[in-house]
Amino acid sequence: MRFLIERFLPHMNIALSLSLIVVTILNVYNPMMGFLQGTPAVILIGAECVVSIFNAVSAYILWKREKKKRYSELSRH
Amino acid sequence: MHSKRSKEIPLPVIILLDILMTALILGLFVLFQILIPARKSAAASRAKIMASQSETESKPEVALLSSSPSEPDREVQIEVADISAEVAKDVSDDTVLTMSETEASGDSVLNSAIESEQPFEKNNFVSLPEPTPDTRTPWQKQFADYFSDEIIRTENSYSSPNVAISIETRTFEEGSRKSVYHVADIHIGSIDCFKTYLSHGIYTYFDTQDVLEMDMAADALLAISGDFCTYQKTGFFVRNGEVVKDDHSWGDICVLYEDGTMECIVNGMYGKNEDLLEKGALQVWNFGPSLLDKNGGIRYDYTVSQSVMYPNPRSAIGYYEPGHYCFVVVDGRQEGYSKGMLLNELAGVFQELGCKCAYNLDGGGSAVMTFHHDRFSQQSNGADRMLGDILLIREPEE
Repeated sequence: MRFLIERFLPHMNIALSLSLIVVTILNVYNPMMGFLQGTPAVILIGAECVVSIFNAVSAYILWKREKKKRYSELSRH
Repeated sequence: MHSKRSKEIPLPVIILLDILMTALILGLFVLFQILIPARKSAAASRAKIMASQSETESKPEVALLSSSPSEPDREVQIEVADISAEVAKDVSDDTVLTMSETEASGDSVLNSAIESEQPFEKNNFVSLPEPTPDTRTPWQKQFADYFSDEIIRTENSYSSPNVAISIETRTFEEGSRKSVYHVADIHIGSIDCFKTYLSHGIYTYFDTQDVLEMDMAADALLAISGDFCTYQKTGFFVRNGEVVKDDHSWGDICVLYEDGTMECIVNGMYGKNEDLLEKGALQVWNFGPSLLDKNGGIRYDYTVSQSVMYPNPRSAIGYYEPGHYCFVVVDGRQEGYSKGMLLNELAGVFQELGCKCAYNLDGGGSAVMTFHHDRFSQQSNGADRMLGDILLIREPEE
């Protein structure tokens, strides 16, 4: 699980963000085709949101743990 | 352990994996957003074509059955016509025909007419034929000066008893930017002359066809690119009185009604789709924006994305009065020939023409005008872009 969070999730976030940027640019140049309308677009945006939140929360928790660990190591010394 | 692994995978490989993952996500997106709906739509269209074919195959039998009881009546009518023609000939040949003879022959015709329950006047035998009633439509009378009794074709005009088209090519200059545009002035005798044609004759999502093929298939006299409805995800689309997509349109729409009036409605403020159908909507286009305000002046508050606000090839339709319209196509993206127009410049053209309402259609590489089954305008970069639909003027179906 930790491997998934640390290694896979950030890359998933990058890939989803890039995809969303591509789709948004396509939509700007051709709004009539409705690239940001319909279920697949909703799923893409939703997945990006969920992965981003998960990534941010996990990064915050890991940073907090790391900080706590360093603090305890420093206090021991 | 994890730190060891991260050292093992070099950065370019990680970047490559990220790009691959992005491509995979985009591939899945295209599959579910476009390809699967397109395939479903194509299957639905095929089913519709099959159903219509089976209907037409079964129709002749029904027609045969329905026509058979009335066959004797038709024979009687033909006989009566023959007799009356013979009698009329006799009258003209033999001017000293006695009254009794005329009455006798007339009575026999009358009797047969009574037998066949057809109204028949005795005076028809001797009186001169009545002048043929004026069968022209109100628009044919109104625009009689534009129509001709016979078909007359020239390089940039066409006139017949039902259709009058004249195309003028003009130039527009704004600073160093030069644009060439074509204005087709159209008068029609009936609303049947104004049609739209979808690629391959039926609505299929993501389907396109060559503009000249569509022009030929629809037997168009004049055609321009439409609103590319086959590529549009949502909206309310009506083509030749048939609803092809029944979502609400939130942008500007253009509606052509059965009585020949045209209306541009901004920001989807038209109530329900059914309201437009009740009013007799024959065509509903979804592209926009609407170019003129209610007073026929240039409209500036467009609700379109910034990307279409630059000089571009354009295609648009204008409305003067029922039966009188104009198509405008602006050539563009061609250095040294024509750059294209801004939307407000295009609106200025329609204002100058005196249109009551004007509506922008699919431009860019799609903007094209065909006349006499050939390209009249120069499509940008010489591209023969396939189109989803066309607006066309044709002779009415008999």
